[in-house]
Amino acid sequence: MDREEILEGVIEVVEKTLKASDVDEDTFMQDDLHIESLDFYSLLANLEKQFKIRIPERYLAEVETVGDIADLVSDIRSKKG
Amino acid sequence: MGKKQQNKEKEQKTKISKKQFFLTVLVLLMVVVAYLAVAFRAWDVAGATIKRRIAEKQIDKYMEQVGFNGTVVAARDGEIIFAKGYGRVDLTKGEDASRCSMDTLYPIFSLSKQFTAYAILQLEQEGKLSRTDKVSKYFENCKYGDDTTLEELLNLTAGIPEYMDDVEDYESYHSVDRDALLSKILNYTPAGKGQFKYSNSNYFLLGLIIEKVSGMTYEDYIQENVVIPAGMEKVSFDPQAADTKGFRPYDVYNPDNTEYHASYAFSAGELCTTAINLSRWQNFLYSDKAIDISQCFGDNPNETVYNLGLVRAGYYYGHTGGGRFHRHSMWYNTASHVQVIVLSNNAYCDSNTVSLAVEHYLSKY
Repeated sequence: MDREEILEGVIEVVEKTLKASDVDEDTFMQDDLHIESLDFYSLLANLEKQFKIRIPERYLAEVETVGDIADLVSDIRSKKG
Repeated sequence: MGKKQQNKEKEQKTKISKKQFFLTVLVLLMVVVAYLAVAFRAWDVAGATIKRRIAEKQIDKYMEQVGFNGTVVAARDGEIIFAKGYGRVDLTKGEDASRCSMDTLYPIFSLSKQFTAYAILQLEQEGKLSRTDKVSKYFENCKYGDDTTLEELLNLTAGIPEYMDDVEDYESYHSVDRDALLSKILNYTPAGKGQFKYSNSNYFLLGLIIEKVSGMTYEDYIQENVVIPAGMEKVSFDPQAADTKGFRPYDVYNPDNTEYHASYAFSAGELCTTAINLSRWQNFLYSDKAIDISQCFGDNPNETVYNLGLVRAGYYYGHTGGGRFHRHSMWYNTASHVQVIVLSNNAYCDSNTVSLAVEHYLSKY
């Protein structure tokens, strides 16, 4: 799975979890999507399910954009080998 | 007997009967008032009981909706007003596991920071250290030791990077070499000094300072000088030996669903206890006459401040805590004197939202 495919998957999960549309790589989680505490844990659960990885929450808490999430997922998947 | 005498006797009898009448009325009035008082009290108690039952049902319904798994305790003015366990202690065993209850021992992770901070204040009060001490007083080879005070460690403004980022994920549930970890922490280059940055490294160092100053292990010091005086009864220091177990389906490095090792969490998060005992701790912390923690949060109540392992935000004091699959929160509302403790072994639980919901439902009675 390359970065583009991961980004597509992340956008799908973000749109579904946060009930948002027109999300792209540069969409900001806070400023554009106003992610709240409750959404954060749903997003965490759905991302883990989609990519079958464990995402340490402190890394997810630090991301700013949807593209950052794709990078994080990509990084964890590459470590998983 | 003359007529005059007869009139006098008649007058006296009338006076007596009037007196008797007023006395009888008075007694009757008192009886009625007493009866009404008892009736109103009974009405009041019955009303409160009904309202409480409604609140409990609303909480149960909410917990079912969000799939809450864990234990919740709420208290008002130090008195428990709600205490209940939901779901199972071991999520890997499903229905075969026992139920979460008031006795369930949870690893509380970052809620432990309050205990570490309290110990530092206690040692300061005994004249054994000062919050203005430089870190270099306790660690000779610390890169930032001369520029950093214990106060900055307590309020997370020292800018010290997070040591947990330097430990591989798969290592965190095995015993970690403390000296090697300390050496890493002491050699970090701080970034953003003066600004709040959440980093467990600060509280890891504070735990070691407690050991150096007291001559005791961190665990023995906390047990003897903090846990016992606070009236807590069930406390341990091994997250892997707690009652609860969570479940993270895609945790490939951790197929046994083991929590963080005590050596990895140490004074930033190794305590384990029950929700009821945390309520006792809060009662002690916010009413302690010897150490007034409110003085450490500044004069502006509108400013969100971190200090002593606690966040003060508006009327609230509290903190959250979490491990690989535990999510906790404990908050104390200084305006309503209501405290809510939420301990969960569900990795995807939003304990803060659960806490606010419980407080909301309980506020109605």
